[in-house]
Amino acid sequence: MDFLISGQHVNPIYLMILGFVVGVFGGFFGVGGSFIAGPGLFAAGVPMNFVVGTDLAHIVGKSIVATRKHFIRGNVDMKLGLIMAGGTIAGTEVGAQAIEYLKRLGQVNKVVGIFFIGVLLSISAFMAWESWLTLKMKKKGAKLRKRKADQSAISNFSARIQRLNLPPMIKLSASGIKQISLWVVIAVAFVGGVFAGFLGGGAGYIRMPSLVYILGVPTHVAVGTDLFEIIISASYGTLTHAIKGNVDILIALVMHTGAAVGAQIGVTLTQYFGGPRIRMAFVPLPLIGAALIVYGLVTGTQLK
Amino acid sequence: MNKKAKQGAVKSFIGEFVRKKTKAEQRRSEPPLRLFIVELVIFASLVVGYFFLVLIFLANWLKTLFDQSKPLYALVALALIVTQGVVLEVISAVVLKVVESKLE
Repeated sequence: MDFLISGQHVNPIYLMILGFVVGVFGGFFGVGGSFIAGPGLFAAGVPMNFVVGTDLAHIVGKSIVATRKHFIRGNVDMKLGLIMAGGTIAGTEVGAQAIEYLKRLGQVNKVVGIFFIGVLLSISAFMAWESWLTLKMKKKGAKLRKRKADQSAISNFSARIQRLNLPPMIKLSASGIKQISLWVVIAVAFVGGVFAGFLGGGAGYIRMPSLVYILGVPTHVAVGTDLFEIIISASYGTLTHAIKGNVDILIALVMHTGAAVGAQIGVTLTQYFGGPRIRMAFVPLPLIGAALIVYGLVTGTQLK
Repeated sequence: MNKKAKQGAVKSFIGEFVRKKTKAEQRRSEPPLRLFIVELVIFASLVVGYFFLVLIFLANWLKTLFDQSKPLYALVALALIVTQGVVLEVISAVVLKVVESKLE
């Protein structure tokens, strides 16, 4: 099928399957799945600037589906999501401007591709290390706290962050956080936004771990809140990239049809797994994305 | 069903669609695996049908809009993906309700 806006010929079945896989991941891990969708689109021949913008558009629709399911399970901290949206929007614009600069230089594929690979490998390594430590702790008979408190091998770090006294301090009851500096929340959101605007997608692969390890949000609530926040920030990202001519909305719509089905499955699966196991299952996914980008960059050929 | 009863049913559906559920309600409302699979198959079929009947015909119109006015295209693009997201989610909820009522 010809996608006239991006000028590419891509198999719509491939897009639907890609969307389906991303939907399952999104519903289960609370991430937009751009670490798979972005490389998947690039491997199909879509130029990187369109990958960034189109992926943002696609996850808006997908995140609505998954967020509702998490919301009715009480896994969405709306106060946190709304506060983060402001920081994310600012960061997204910074990332989008960087893409425009690289487009003018004709370097967008190479620079974004290499940066993407570095980020994906780092995230995978970190989450593998933390999840392994946490599961090791549990095996040694570490005392389990309440479900919402969750368990992490480096929860001391988030406790220290919460004790940082940078007014104004806010309370996040839905996440079980008694107080935390507003500036910390906005800073985490801003960094996530830069990644979203520069690499595409909702940057859940940055934001979800940040919510858990830096802010100390329980994993299940981080999943739902991340999805909610993605709706707002990705909507802004879609608008800004579409105005810059970087969104092929038809590709996004086709991918989303598969994602809508996949999200149903992904969300239902979260009720069967605890926080550390969800995080451990997340580890191989960024590696798959990195492999797809390497394939596209090194061979110069794409899967059509 | 008269008009008032239909309106009541729609209101009740919307309320159930967005209301937070207690743990007990979540356990009761989770469909058994068999129903979930049936709902998924029907929903997936509707989605594929939607692709062939609707999406394929949007290509030329979207390209024209993209060439003529990027800001308008941006707004339309966002509206399309949000609308599709909401509509597909509503359809999946309706399909599940229908399947539950027919098979139980």
